[in-house]
Amino acid sequence: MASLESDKVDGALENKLGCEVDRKGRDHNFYWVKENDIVLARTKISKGPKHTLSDTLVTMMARQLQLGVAGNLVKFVACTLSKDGALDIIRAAARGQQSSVSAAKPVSPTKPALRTKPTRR
Amino acid sequence: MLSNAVYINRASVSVPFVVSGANVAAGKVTSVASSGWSFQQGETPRRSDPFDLSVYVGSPVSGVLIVEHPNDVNSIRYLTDLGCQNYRLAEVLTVAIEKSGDQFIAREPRRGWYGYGDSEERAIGSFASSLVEELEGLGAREDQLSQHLREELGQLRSVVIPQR
Repeated sequence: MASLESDKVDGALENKLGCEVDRKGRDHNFYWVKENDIVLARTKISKGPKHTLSDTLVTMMARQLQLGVAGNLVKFVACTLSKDGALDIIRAAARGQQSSVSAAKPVSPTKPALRTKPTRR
Repeated sequence: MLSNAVYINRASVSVPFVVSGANVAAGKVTSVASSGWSFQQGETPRRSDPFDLSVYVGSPVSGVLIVEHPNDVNSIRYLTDLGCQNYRLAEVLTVAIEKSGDQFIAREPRRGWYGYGDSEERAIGSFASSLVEELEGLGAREDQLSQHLREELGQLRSVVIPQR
């Protein structure tokens, strides 16, 4: 089971990953992953006393952080995944989403559709 | 009134009343109905395994009932209000609540929104407040957001709207 302690995750996200942490919210602290002034990902932890984040929660947080699977967040908190390694995964996920969005865009009606010449046999 | 409903596992069916919340699980289930709603609980005779159904009814006369197999999902709630002075919901949100470790997780499966707490009520409260906090946090950084976060902000803005 990939459970984590909330204070360990808080420390890892703020100090190791360098997240901008917003603690002004009423119920949650928010962790913003930024690079070159672009927000790549974010996640949140409930305020209040230290608590255990279950496997399901760790999975959802890893998804929000664009780390893919829970194991990557566990490794990051356990220091077996470096900051650079984590950022590589996050960047790759962001690039993948960008390209899938581009691929899903319909062809502009002002541009003629590409036509391939029929090949001669 | 319950005899009018059609029970289909993991499916949505229209029933002739508004459903504000429904719990389906093995054994006894307790729920808290929204104030102003009448409450009705029934048991279906159509299944062999233990099966409880709690339904909140009200008007106007329309709604959706989702019946789930007993599984990790402890209950399903229909969130109609954020409990916030500044924002309200543009649509009723279906929120699945499950127990995971020491925590209850309230999750809107279609969009991936979630909140959690040490009770079902706190999980729902966390879910509702995180929608507002995420909306404001993403909105404050709108010019800096990557593509998928801009899309998330758009989804939130279509559902969490300012109070009139």
